[in-house]
Amino acid sequence: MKAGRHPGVFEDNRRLYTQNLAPGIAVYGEPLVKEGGKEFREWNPFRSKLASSILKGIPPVGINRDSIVLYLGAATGTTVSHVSDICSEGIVFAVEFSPEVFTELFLLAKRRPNIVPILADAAHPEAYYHRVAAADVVYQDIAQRNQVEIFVKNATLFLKRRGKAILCVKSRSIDVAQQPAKVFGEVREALTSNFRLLDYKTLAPFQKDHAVFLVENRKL
Amino acid sequence: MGYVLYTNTLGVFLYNDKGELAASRGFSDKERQEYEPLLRRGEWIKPEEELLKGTDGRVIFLGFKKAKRENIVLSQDVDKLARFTAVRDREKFRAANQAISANDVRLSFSEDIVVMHTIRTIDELEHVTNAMLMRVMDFVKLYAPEAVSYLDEPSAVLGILEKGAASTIGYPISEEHKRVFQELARGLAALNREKEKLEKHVEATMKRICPNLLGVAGALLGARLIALAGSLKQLATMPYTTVQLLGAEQALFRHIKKGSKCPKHGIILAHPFVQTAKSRGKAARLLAEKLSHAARLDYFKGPDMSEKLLRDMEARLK
Ligand SMILES: C[S@@+](CC[C@H](N)C(=O)[O-])C[C@H]1O[C@@H](n2cnc3c(N)ncnc32)[C@H](O)[C@@H]1O
Repeated sequence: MKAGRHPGVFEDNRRLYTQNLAPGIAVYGEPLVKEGGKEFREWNPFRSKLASSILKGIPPVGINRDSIVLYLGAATGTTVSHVSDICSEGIVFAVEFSPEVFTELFLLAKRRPNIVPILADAAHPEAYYHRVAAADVVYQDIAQRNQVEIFVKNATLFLKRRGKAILCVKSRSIDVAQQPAKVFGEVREALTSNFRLLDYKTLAPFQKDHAVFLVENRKL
Repeated sequence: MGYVLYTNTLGVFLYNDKGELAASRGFSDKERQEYEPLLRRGEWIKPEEELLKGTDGRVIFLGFKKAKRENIVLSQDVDKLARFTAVRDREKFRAANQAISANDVRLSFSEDIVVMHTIRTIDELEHVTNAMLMRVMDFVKLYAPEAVSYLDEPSAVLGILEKGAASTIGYPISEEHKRVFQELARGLAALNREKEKLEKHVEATMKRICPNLLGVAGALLGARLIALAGSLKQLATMPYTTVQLLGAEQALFRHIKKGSKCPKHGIILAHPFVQTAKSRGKAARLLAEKLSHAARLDYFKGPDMSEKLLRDMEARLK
């Protein structure tokens, strides 16, 4: 297994791995692999849109060993756990609004000292403004109709100068009747008026009708 | 630039115009929990007031507040946040945040979660017992085929299996074969009793937490509506037209995507009011309106008005 172009992400035969921050424990049933005295967790691109984006060739998203990441729509922490492996000396602020899945995220954070779980609605960042820090990276994966608006709001408040932000979009959650390509085009348009678009990828065959957008803060 | 006041989970911090910490007030564990709801709502808290007393001139408050104040400017400047943010005290900051989340987890429990688990279990049991009954019936068909027509519940089946010693049709079926299926039928009867207990439990719980929904929908339909909506809160806050179509998502999706007929009702079709109505579409709409109203009364802890809701609904159909 060897280091690829994304810091903290290792590759072996088109499979991705991150070094396990909580050795011995798998988070969602992923295989654990030992190599060179270290333990790695396989990162399943069918379960995580960040993993599939990497396999689809997205350039480095700005998550480094000491990054501060604001993650919106953390769910039970599948992707969050890999981000927490990567920024082992940073922090992941993980926001999730469904109490049912939050419990699992909360328990995950007990085993991983760099995750700060926050039960809150990402549409109302003013309610958690005092609980998060300015971030190097904002990552959002919430299937909501007004997700672009929520993304812009959070990035404006919390994304540092030159920080990068990633938006995952499921076209159906914005408009069921519309062609995905059309929906993605509109999202792109909305994003470019606020940010510099660095890259855009659709996630097939890993996720159907999904796309990710990588942007950079315009403020210089 | 004057003073900057910044509050986070650890406490309140006042910086002077050089960006140096001029004064601060840390929270005790108890204060942290006490101030948290106020901070979420954007209200001023006591330690902030205290630190403000020591300033003159313009102060920038970094964050959100609902009420404006003289001499105070609100700002959400991300450069300032990056500068004053608490990552220096990372471990403490995390522990404090974790404590708030632990409290949130505790407060997020509500009994409608139990209602949802119970109704899902009931529906699962229904499924399993139906399938098992079919298998037992296959055996009874060999053993006493004339009985099959009037058998529709496990206790009756059990009766047949426990009665005669030999197959009525003359098949040479051994006692051992019979015993195996008797056991299965007993297990099935036990599962049915279990299901009835769960149904009573759902009803008793709903009587306490959502009497209006219980009164208008009945226990099982009401519980299924909560489960489909995701919580009583979500059921109470969604438009009634969505309530009307809960459980018909597939059909709705086909309608939007492929232009098939728009569904008029989801699972509320099972309600006798819709079942017996001449115009089911109209009845479904009226029922959905009242269900919505009922859920809202319950969510906001209003009185039990379910009888009135039902009467209004009947009157409007005429
Ligand atoms: C598709 S899942 C995220 C999966 C996760 N990112 C992963 O890869 O492991 C979307 C999550 O976002 C949450 N969500 C939706 N809207 C939200 C909002 N406004 N604020 C916070 N979380 C939200 C949902 O509850 C759900 O758990």
